[in-house]
Amino acid sequence: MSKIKVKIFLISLAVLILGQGFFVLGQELEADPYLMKLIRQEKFRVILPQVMRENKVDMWIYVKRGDDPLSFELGSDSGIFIFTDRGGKRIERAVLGGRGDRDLYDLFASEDDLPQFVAERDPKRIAVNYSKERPKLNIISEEDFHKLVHALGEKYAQRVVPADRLIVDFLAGRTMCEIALFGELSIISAKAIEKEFDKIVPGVTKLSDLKGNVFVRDPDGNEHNNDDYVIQRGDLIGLLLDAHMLDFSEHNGGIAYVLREGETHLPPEVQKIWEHALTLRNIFRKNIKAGLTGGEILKTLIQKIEEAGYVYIDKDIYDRNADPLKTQVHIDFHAMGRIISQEDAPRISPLGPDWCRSFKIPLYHTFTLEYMIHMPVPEWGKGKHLYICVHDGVMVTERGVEFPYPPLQKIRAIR
Amino acid sequence: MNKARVLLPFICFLFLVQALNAQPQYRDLMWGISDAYYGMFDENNPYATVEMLNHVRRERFYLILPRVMREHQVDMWIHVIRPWSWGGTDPLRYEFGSKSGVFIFTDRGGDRIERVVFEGQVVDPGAYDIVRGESKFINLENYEIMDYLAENPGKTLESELDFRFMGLREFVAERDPKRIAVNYVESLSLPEGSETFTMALTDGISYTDYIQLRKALGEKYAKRMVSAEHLILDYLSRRVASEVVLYGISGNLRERPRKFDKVVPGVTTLSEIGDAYVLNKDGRRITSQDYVIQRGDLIISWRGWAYVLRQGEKDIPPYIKKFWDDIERIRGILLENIKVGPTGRETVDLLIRKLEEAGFSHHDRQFYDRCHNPQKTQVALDMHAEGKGVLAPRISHLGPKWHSNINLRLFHTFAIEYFVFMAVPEWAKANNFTGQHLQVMFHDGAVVTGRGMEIAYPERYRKIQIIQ
Repeated sequence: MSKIKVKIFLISLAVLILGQGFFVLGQELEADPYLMKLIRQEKFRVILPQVMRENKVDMWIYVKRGDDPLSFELGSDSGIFIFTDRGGKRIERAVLGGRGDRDLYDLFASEDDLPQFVAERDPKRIAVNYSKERPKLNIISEEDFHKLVHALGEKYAQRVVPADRLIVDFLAGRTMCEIALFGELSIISAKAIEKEFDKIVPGVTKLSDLKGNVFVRDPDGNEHNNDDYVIQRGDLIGLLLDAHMLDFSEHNGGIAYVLREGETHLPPEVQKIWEHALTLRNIFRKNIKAGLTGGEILKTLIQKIEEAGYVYIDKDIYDRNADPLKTQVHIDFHAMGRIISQEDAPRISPLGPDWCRSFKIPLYHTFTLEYMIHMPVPEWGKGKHLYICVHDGVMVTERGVEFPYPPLQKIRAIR
Repeated sequence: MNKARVLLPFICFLFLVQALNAQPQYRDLMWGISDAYYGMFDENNPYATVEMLNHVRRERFYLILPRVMREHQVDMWIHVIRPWSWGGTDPLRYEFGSKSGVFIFTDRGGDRIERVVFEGQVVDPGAYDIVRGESKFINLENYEIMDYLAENPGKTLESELDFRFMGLREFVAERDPKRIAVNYVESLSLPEGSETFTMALTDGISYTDYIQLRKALGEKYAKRMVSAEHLILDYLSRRVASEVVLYGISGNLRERPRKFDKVVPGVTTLSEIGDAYVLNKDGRRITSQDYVIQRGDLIISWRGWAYVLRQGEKDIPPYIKKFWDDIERIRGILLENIKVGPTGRETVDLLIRKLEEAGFSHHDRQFYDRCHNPQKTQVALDMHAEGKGVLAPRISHLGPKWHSNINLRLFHTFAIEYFVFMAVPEWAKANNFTGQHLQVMFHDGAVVTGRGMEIAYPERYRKIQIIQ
């Protein structure tokens, strides 16, 4: 083999292997069109009939004029998408005046066919993509809404209801191929966090040198967040970092402690706050069930947290008026998995509007066990405390909370 | 440039070494998880890291172990893996993270089961409450038995085998179990199945160990021993969410449907397509690599089908269309009728009824059966468990009876393996009425959830491509 061929071979090999390495460790995965299509198909097949029936909607009209929260699910940016429950196990899927994947939709027609199309199906409740409560879900333009009402005629226009709750339920529903992707992104995110912690040099590295949402709180609760604060020995650092593929996203949290000079292990107070984290994780695992609303579960969790000797706080701020010997806990179990459905989604949290807490937690809901612990350290002085934020992706099954990937195992010690 | 020449191979070497060392613990335990388990949950999956595999074990101990022990009314489970066989073919090597040892699981009430490595080493000690380690007296070769004799004058044991069970009677008495399940077979067949014949399955304990164990337990507790065979199978057949994740990722790493865009009728040869054969317009099978693709040919490969339109044709011929419509209908029947709860046998019986009601003819042979009504499309099913564990529960008439006697559990992962055969009367004359037919086999992956059957990862192919 000539020298040039050897060089070419070596360079190609290096590029190939390095490329693979970066692919695995990177945080953005290239979307596989076959997987994306399968997710759409499965959501239509498995989730759509369930959420339409639960919301007592027998026709869902979605008028789409560009990119919006359902662009991925519908697989198209323009047209009138009509889903009709005509009995049986599946929902009829039609596109009027637009394009769509012929493997996803049963029929295509002109927008002008809408009155006849609806009359033939004679729906009792027609959900349309507007909302009186959530701005992001108030999607249909005023002009389109008026046109639609006019086209439907009085008889069917009277049957129109907002589709906001239906959309939230549809977005929150997870199929098994999404669960696999959720797990995959979670694993990548957890690895990426460890890589960031590897970069820390005490006294040199600034929070802003690290990727993600990085924060340190001092014993009085003052927080440095992604700023030029230089990481010091004795700091307890929180880091949240995401991984995503198109509209699918997951973000994990990691915690690291920078050992002081002479320390070889985590000091007792840091070890103790981690033990609280594990105790609380167990309480959450046992008490979160599918089928209850976020608000109902929140009430139960507050009760269980307090029975276990903690103080529940509804803000992520140390409460100086609470029992100074008790550790304080704040929770925000928001949805995760789809970028769009992290806010307008079922939520077990004191944060966000009541609307989000009114949704039932669906079976196989993917969300984060995000909880913040403020542990008093009386020997440091009055009101002084340690703070950590635990943030692990989970799903709820018939058995309770399951971890689709290894959750945070420990507070990492940085030398 | 010289530096680059040195640096590049060095970097390559570094990455290769990293890759090879990815799962040293599990290599030691078994050469790839798939070595002992049927399916694709194995070390080729870059996400099946040590951390992930340990996590799966712990989740199973947390979520599944209490359920199966209580459902089988077992309050103590003793599992012995013989040390001299290096784990051999014991099906619980991965589950326990060990290739030899005495493992004891006790239901002491509450949400969890006490997990003890009574004797032996494990790769994941954090999964256990107590790890006593390997008996220091176990190996005669290093003369430690001499130490034992020196420390215990007058005590003579019959063989070094006894040392593994030392203290067992006291340990068990303290927990006072009513039913002690032990890994021997009482009623089931021994081999796991035709495709995993090397597995010892539930019959792991040797006769010698059985005798030693009885002796160590004493008469009172020896009487309470029962076979763990059904407990073991039940444990192996259940899944946690993280196993679904690994299963889905493994499936996502599989090949995708192939495309036949570059095929030019009258020009492209079979060898240029590769890994495919042709059924020509008369239904004759052609495998010669020099064959030039003609209009009217049906190109068939493991990763996809394509039809080359004849001059003037706008769509595939009606018989090919019917075949693919039938496939979709069959798939629909599978999707609608596989649920959590029933056994594999109950499920296959239901599927057969539904298939036959829909006008199909079911049989359990994986070939075209000339004895069946030629007007009916034939279907053969073998939807065995896949991913990790055993072939059971199996939605099929194949395999030993116990395969199909097991219930389908939450997150059961399985192969959507089915065969479809359809006679093509249009081809009969050209083939001397020998029953020329179309046939296809699918082997994709699914999960059973509380909502029914769901597709775990993109199927190898589902449509026939049309070449203009």
